[in-house]
Amino acid sequence: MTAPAEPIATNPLPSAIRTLWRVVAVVQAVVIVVAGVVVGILGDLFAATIGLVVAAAVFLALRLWVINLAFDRWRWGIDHRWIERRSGVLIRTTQVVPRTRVQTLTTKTGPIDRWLGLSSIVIHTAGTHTPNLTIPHLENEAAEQLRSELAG
Amino acid sequence: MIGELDWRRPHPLTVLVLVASFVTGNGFPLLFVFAFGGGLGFDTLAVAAGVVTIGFGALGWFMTGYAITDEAVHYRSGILNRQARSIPLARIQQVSVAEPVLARIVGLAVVQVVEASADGDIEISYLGKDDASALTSRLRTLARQHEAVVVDTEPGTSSLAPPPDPPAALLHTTPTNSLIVYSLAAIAPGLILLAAVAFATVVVVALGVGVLGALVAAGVGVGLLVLIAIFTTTNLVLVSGGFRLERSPRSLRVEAGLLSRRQVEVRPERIQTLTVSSGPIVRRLNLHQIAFSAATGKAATKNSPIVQLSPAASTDEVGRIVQGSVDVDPAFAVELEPVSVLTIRRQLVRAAVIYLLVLLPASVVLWLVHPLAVLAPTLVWWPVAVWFARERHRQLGISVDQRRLVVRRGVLEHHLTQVPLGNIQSVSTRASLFQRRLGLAHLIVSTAGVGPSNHVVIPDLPVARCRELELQLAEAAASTKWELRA
Repeated sequence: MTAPAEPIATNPLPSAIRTLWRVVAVVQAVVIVVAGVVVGILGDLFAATIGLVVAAAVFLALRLWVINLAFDRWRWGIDHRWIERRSGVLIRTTQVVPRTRVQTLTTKTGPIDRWLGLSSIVIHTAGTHTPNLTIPHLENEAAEQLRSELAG
Repeated sequence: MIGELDWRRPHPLTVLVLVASFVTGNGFPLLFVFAFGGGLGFDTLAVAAGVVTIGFGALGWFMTGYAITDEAVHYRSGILNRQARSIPLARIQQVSVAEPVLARIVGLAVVQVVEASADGDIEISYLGKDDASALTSRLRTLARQHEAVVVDTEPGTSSLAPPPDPPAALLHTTPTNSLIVYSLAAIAPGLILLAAVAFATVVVVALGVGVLGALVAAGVGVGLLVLIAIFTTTNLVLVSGGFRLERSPRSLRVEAGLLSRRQVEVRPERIQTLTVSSGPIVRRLNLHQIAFSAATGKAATKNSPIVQLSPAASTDEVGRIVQGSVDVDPAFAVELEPVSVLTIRRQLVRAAVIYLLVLLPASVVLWLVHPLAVLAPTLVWWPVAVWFARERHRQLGISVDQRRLVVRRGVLEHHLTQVPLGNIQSVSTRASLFQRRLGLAHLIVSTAGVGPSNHVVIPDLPVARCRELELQLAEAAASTKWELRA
């Protein structure tokens, strides 16, 4: 029986992605509040509007806090044996995929990812239950390096 | 190029099956048109509907074709949306024959050709039974020859086709009476539970409404229980009846079903996990179910005979069946390491949540019926919950050696699952907020198998042990090579 190795998942996600998550959260909150205020003014619902704004503010604060926690918890790493990922705020998960079991690699970039120069790597293994291991929003260079290392 | 192939059509009786399956399936309302159309003065409509249905059936048969070349199996079908699919012979994973009820009545069968990709399989429907078995054995031979050519690329090896396999040896058949015994024993605990609930209801009704109402309720309850028993048992006998397991040097052949008969061929090396299960009464009768998960074919449901080595085998037989099929022992005698005793506490918290959300409100309703009944849910729930949590912990156990991971779990029904370490695809852990407070985590071990038992969850291991196992299993997997063509 081998002694437990040190965790290799030590790389955080690029900090640009935390900024992006925050911006998205703020924009969504602002859109909801603006829509609510417009409806409130038209419908003459003063109390409900105030309630909505307060609820949105509390929810936004909570969400920003969770974003921070999620970002801090996200770690990934790779060595000659396997790829490892750790994440989760309430429910914490780790995932280890041996390199000999990697079947397919997918690189994904959305429009915002492209604009920020980020891309996600999805690592597939065989089988229907095995979840895919996704390392999201890596800087392009790091993603390319990871991809070529795993493919090579 | 596909146009130049020697296309062959399915059996002409296919038209009948297509029409019948359309009418019994989507076209159910048509039956009414056929049956009552004339009487209501819609003769023309009834005739037209009949002609159109038969026309579509005939066209469906006419437009379907299959061809086998030296390289691949081709299949095309569809009236408006034409589909064509080819599977290279070297990529064939499995060839099986199925006889769905409607086809079986007119003596037809389906040949399924399964590939490793997710693109889907080819189902050649429908062929005469003799044609189907001839085609199946031809495809199996062709697939084997191609595999042999692919494998024998070393210089100096013969490129001759491998000799035909010796006939398969019969490993196990399940007699119908043991299926019936198994089925009744398997559902008995559920029925007893239902009977207890029914009895409680009858008592409540007797207190509230009167004796006559209670007698009626009791009659209905007994009737329902008998119906459930008959239905479940008949279903199991029809689906798993005539179960046969054969072993040839290269493959396992499973055959089952009284109405729709299916035959599946699996390579033993494709089997990823093996699970021996038995319910509380089934165990007393020394019966077990042996299921596997293989890296091939479509997902099958838990009780499908297609993923079983036996639907009901006696304890003495289990070892021989497992040994004969996949060359390992059933792991009955393996010493198991228990999981954390804190799992009992976690289970009791769950019980408390269910108690607060469901049983307490139910007690209030019962109080309206009779003031004494208010205590019943509490008095029943807590002893059962405590027993359940303790028994669950007592049964939970794991063992890892150089070759395999063995996990036992289950309270009423016990499952003993073994996973050869080389079949592990990925390992993950999961810890909820409450688990973290107790210092526990789940370990999830996934394989490349298809179907319900393709992964094992080991609940509530101490975090350090969980991490140690995660890395140990990943290490074992990382140091072995895994590929579909084993």
